[in-house]
Amino acid sequence: MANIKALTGNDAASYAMKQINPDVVAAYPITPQTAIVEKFSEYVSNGEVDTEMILVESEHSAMSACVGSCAAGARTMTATSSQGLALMWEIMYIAAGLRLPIVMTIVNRALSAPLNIHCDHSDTMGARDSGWIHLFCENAQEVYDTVIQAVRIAEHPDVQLPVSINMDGFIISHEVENVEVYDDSRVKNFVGEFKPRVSLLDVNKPVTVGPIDLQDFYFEHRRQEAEGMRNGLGVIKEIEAAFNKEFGRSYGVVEGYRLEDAEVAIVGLGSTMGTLRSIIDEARSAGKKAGFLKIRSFRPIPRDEIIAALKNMKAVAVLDRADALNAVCGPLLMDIRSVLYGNLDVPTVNYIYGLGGRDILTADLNMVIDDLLNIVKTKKIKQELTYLGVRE
Amino acid sequence: MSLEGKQKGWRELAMGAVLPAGTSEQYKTGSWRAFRPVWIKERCIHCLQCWLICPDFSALAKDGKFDKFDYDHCKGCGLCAYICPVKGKAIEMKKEAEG
Amino acid sequence: MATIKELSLQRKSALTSGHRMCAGCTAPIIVKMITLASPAPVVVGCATGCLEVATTIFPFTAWKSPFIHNAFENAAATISGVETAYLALKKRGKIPARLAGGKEDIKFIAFGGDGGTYDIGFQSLSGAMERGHDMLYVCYDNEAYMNCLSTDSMIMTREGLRKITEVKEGDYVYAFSQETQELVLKECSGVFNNGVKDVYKLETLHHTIKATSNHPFLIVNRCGRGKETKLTWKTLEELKVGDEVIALKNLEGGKSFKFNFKKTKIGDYKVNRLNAINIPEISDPDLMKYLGIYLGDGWTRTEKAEVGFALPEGTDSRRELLQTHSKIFGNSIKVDKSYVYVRSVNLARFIDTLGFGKGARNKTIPSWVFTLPKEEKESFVEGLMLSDGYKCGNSWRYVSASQELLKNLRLLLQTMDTRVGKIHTQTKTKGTHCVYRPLLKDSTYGYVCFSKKTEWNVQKYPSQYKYQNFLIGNKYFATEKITNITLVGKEPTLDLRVEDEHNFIADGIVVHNTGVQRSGATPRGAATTTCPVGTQVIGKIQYRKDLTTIMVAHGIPYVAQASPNNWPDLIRKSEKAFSIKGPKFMNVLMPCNLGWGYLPDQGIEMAKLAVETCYWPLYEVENGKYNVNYIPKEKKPISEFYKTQKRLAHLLKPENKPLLDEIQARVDEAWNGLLKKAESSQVS
Repeated sequence: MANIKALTGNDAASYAMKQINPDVVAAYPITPQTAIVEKFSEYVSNGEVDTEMILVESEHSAMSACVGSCAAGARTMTATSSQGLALMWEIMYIAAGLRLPIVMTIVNRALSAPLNIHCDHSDTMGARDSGWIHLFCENAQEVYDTVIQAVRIAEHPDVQLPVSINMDGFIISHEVENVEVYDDSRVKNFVGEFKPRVSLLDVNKPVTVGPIDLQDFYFEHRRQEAEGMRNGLGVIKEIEAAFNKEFGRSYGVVEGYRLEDAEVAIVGLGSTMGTLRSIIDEARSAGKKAGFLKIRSFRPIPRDEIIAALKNMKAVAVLDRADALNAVCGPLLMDIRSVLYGNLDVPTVNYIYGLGGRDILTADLNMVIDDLLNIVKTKKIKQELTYLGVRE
Repeated sequence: MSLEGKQKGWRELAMGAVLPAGTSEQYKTGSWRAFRPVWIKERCIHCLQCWLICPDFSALAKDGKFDKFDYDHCKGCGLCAYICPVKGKAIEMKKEAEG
Repeated sequence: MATIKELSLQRKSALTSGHRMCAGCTAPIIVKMITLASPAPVVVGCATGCLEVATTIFPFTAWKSPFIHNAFENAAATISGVETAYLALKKRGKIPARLAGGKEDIKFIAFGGDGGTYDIGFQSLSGAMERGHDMLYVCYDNEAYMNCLSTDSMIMTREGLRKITEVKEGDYVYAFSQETQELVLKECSGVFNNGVKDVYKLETLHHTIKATSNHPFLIVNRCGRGKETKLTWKTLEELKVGDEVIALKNLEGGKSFKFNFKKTKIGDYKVNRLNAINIPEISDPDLMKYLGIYLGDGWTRTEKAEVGFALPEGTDSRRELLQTHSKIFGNSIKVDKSYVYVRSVNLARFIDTLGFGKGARNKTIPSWVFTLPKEEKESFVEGLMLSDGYKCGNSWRYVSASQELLKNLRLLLQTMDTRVGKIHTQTKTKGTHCVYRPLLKDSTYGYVCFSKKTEWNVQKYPSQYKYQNFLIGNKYFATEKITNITLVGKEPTLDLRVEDEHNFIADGIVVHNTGVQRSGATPRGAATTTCPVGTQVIGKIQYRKDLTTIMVAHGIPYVAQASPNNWPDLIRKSEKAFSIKGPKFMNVLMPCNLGWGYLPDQGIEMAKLAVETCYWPLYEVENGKYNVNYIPKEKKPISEFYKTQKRLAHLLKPENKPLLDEIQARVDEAWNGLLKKAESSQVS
């Protein structure tokens, strides 16, 4: 019998962490991630986990302690949002450069200024190039499942990179959904024991972690790291397959919805894709041949999968819940276009929406579909970039 | 791994730039010297203060007594001679050129 | 505590050879000593910095123990993560005994430079200490921190001669223009209370000044035959008898002083009868002569509306006084055999406002007299001489029971291009004839001798005179040879900051001002510093927070300050730290020969000097109880430590010397404070 719990996204994440029972968690609270830390500390206080928890004095120290802990051979996890992520940024790069499999849940929240505690993707967009694997989730169930998978993805010998699980702040993190949770023992078995590549605590085999590279070695170490990221795609699929076998669920690195016979597609990240499911269905009922492509693995970019999924499209709209502020477009569009360029000649347009938690309405999304169909009909792009939902 | 020899490509390097301990012993800093310490055995009282003070771990001790200088690594800073408590000093700093 | 021999036999250092720290660097010595002190294996974390960079250049690492470097500001957080992982893994049985090196628990050490600890790494350190991780944080501090006159000093200001304690920010003082060698007026932009310090008396033939050993004086630097003679700044302790300082000999112009006296009228409190009297509004030679006589022989009894003079019949002084009195005041005056009286409320009150002081021992020359034109000053002196002075051969001699009066008179005369000798003291027994009358009791008097200066024929012997007096021909200044420098003792001290020229005239001698903004007696924001030579120098010696004390405030079980020169102390402290469970902090001075500028084999000597000058006290605080581990037999001045380093040689330059004063004061304050804390720790 499936064990269904009513959990918020935050609760789902902390529940997964409980079942994983990592060796160390070092975290600092920030809205809307706070509940993860709070919930998890409850588990610690109640003895439901025997994780050592470090309540650090800042996110920077949180990631620093995670680096120390992981390098010492301990399975380490944390969580943050927005400004906290920004503060951690320096150490995120170090964690990836040191090839430490730290797992972090990011509850996506807009970056200041102006200060805003609500959802958009600008925080993770700021850590795009850090060398972390970034996975985006659509709902609480996916969050729960992805956190469990992330541990194995990170620790995989071909990857050895830190992984983040992204969920939309407040939209997923604070909304109660039905989540099927698995038995503790099954989750425990799935994640298995951490077999650290490096351990500072092995005093009989001492190592130096984090040396200085001069011009003669840095490039090589970076190249190695790039390879880890490249291997990420294959590894994610491998772990997904194993997860599917065990728990009967998988999400893929991308998910195409009704794309097989679609003419137009909407590409995006996060919870909006959940909203789109019913909108696409409605559009289909109205005879519109629309579908969507959900990007789950934002980093590494699933190049081949994107090309394959969109190969029959006549127009593509990319939804960006962040502005790259580059005077041209949003960050996801840059990735999609660069992947399609030379491989698929399809007109792409960009919609920047939902910044600072601005709701996206069904009407907006329907309008996007209509815009796309219009492009197909007129063979003309009226507007490359639309700020969807902003008051002019 | 020497400096002059072929350096490893990215595929051969250990992941994450992790290093096994103490590999610097292969790097000979002795070439930095302008002066070298010379041990005057008869005067030495084996207090081992030079062993303690040497920043480059080049004043070697064995069985609780002064053994010899590691000229592969000694940078000739002169702290050993400075610290030697013996009257007239049991360590003399001589110009490297003199040998 | 393990002996060196035992250490060499039983212990292993975490570091080995082949690192690329500078020859003679003390950082590896410190790491060696601390890690040798650990009976158990250590895991080391290090902040980005010299130590980290020079020891881990890929593919070479000098670390024999497990080592992690993360970033600049997070050594403490990183090691706290490692320590927590150790707890977690131990708890879960994942650390087999063999991995942990046997029975002994692993010791966790985080090293951070002063940058990575005091500044950017402070938060991380504070958080880790607060959380109570079982780790030792060692800060290797290779930074150097960051000039005074006795409060008796008299400063030549625009408003006249004033005590240094009375000079305020915004006042204008006289200064020596180093460019034109002329007298200039400059604004005082700060007054600094530098606390009680050891003060020396510097004497020349005509001047005396008290200052601390590091106060800079402008002296004539004779560079030898054929070479140019320059004026340079040198601290008092560098001066010798025979060195020539610059002294003020003549104050320009001056104008008659406007009095601000409001006459009492009939009907004012207790005034029902008033003798008509003319009170002058502005000074003039006659009045000054009158006041000179007053200062010597007069008194006021204001409540009795009386001004009196002890001037016997038939004396020149009485005659002069009576003459000037009628001229100025136009008032009746009563006489008897020995005394002269004036009955006037207004005169009494007027004189009281002039600031001459009351009582024989309290007499003084008020500052406004110094601003008068030469003529008036001369009359004043004349008046003084008429009362308590007498001619003695070619010179005059003035006698007074008031030391301050003599001091001020000396300074006054020095603004009048007069040659003045030292203040001499003598005791005369009761009955001795003194000037006009016998003494009523045994008395101690002081006296000064002075005479008019003869003009030198500069045209005839120019180089010779120039050799004798570098500033010959200068209207305001002259050089004077130092005759004596002696330690006087501890006195409260102050210093001024003067804009532009950065010097002022104290007790007649040209001295340097102070350069530092903070800790002034007058609070001031961070104004521009005086030092053009490398803002970086000033930046480095800006006041640093007392991190050791801050760590004590964290309430951690063990905090200590150590130095590599005293290794028994350093090793003992390390051993102790390793034996304590919980967060520990050690601040270790790390002399840096490249940064500080000294020869490679002097690192330990530098550390020793830092300790002997009490700049870097060796102490420990165990659970809040202070213990000073080393008290130098002879506390050396901070300059002993600084002068050995090229990088602090800047402080020997005039513009920066005042920083030295600031630093000395701080050092002394900290040291004394520390001793007190240790004392009260013993008691409680």
